[in-house]
Amino acid sequence: MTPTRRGMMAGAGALAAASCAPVSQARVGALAAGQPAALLIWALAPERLLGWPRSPSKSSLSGLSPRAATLPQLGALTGGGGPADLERLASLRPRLILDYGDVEPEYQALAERLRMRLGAEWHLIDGALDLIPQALFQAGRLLGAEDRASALADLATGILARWTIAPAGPAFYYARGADGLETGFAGALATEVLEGAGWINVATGGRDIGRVSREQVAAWDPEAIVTLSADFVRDAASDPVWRTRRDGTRRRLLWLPDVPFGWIDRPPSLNRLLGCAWLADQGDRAMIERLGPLLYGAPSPASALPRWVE
Amino acid sequence: MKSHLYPLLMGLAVFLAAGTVMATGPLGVHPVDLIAALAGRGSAEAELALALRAPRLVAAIMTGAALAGAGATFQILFRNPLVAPDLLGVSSGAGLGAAVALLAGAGIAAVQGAAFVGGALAAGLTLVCAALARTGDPRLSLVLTGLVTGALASAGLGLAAVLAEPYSQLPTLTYWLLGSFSRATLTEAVLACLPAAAGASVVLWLGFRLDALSLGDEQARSLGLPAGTLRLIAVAAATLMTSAAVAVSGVVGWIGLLAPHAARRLVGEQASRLVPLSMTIGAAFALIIDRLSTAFGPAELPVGLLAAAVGAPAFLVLFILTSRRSA
Repeated sequence: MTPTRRGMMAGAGALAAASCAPVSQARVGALAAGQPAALLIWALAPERLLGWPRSPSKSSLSGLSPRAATLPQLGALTGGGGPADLERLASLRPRLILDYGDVEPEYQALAERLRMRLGAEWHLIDGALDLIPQALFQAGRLLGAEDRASALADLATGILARWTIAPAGPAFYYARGADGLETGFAGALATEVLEGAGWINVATGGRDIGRVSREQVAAWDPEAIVTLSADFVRDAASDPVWRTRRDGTRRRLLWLPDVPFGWIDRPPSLNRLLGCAWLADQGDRAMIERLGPLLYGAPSPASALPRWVE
Repeated sequence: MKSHLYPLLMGLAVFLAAGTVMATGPLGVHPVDLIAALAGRGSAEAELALALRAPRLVAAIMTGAALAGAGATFQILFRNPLVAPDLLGVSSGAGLGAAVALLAGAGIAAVQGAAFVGGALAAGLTLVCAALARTGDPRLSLVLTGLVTGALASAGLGLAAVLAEPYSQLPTLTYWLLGSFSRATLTEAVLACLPAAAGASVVLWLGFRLDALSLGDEQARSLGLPAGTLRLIAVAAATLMTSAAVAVSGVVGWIGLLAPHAARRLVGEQASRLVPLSMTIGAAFALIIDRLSTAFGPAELPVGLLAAAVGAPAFLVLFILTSRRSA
């Protein structure tokens, strides 16, 4: 019988797992295929997360419970970021690998291939914003954290219901990066939180994330600029080209928090619920203060509230 | 056509291309209004258009001229028409400098400064290693050590891409490396013109000395020229031009290869004519690329990609025409 490629990969995965030294029970847990999945596991069962696909930055760690800093960086199995060392992952003997995001066939195929190689249970959960409650239930069942998942899912359901009927916001331009010239075009994941609440993305004519010129932004003439970047805020706050509209009025600048993770973007995971909650409740802090600890295991930093920059 | 008319024609081409860049754009301001704004009597919108287009114009002209001038200098110096401004690993070094600054969370001005320093360091490393090698042919040493430096910097760039935060740093790094003329403010673009102009002045001053160097060290010395010193000065000047261009615009290839080829076809090999015409053609090419970068929709196409897409076939056509003429 001729060995198949899939059979060889499965064999290699089993061999890698079998050849590893036994690991302590405390290390048995769940792996995140990418950072969105890591946030999902962190919110529901932080004690089961074996490591970060990419370690949070120092400022991000300040908004997470202390355990976050003790977890190793393992690399990503899907999506962007440094690739994971499969042998190292196998040595952790994960029982469960979660991926959270696009469920396109290519990701399903990748999931299947890696499942065979690592010999672990692999689940790909749809990362759509409006499906967050379902994702929480599904992940909660897999992680044995049904109660926590149910509480968070109920909260998410309420937030999303209010978010979709929130009063329409201004026509906005999403300034990404330090120079503000990367943007999410209408329909991009990066701007879904704002668009879903009735804010109008002026960036049309492109797909997903792209780079535009300052003149293009001026031609779009948004009422407001939204950003997560402190560098951009520093440069643009007093720049008349960024802050002046074509009719001479002042353009508003909204600085959204990105600690521990972005409120509308970066990564596209549960962190976006905070943006939805802020929009749904018209800036009411009560829900933010309730939701933050549930997502991150620590209260949101005092500075972590959206701010209209003067 | 008389060859002394070519610089005039290319100067006119730069003027027309610059006029097109200044007169067109998403804001849709009428050119007459723009001219009035230049005289200080335009509408607020025309003044805005001027403020936004002027930095691009300066960045594109400086980048095109600097890369083409550096490319022509290196091609003369190394007697090799396939040499590009990145010969000493400058572009990769500048890219690595920018990448390190981006990963450290630096702002745009700091990233540009780091790119300049990275390019200069890469060139310095190449020169030092070439000097240590002490082979019979110093040009060969420079080429080989430049390859090594470029490869090391490219490996560093790859590592930076792996380490970059995928949702924020990686797109920024990718866009930076693909090149853009819209990144710099007017002050930054004008500041970058200073080292580029200094390098260009030195190269233009070298003039006939470059021609002598292209004949080989023995020939240059027989003319009473200090070959080693002059070569070092020429390499340093070309490196300064390249670093300034990469710092402002990112990695934009092909201009430094294509423009000298086009110029050589028009005015021949003489450095005093080849270098200035190359710079003029480079500036015109960069302006055309800049205009194309925003011509296909609101998303700006990276000028590095466009330079390759337009430059590579243009180079091929030039190559075929030149080889048929010399056959």
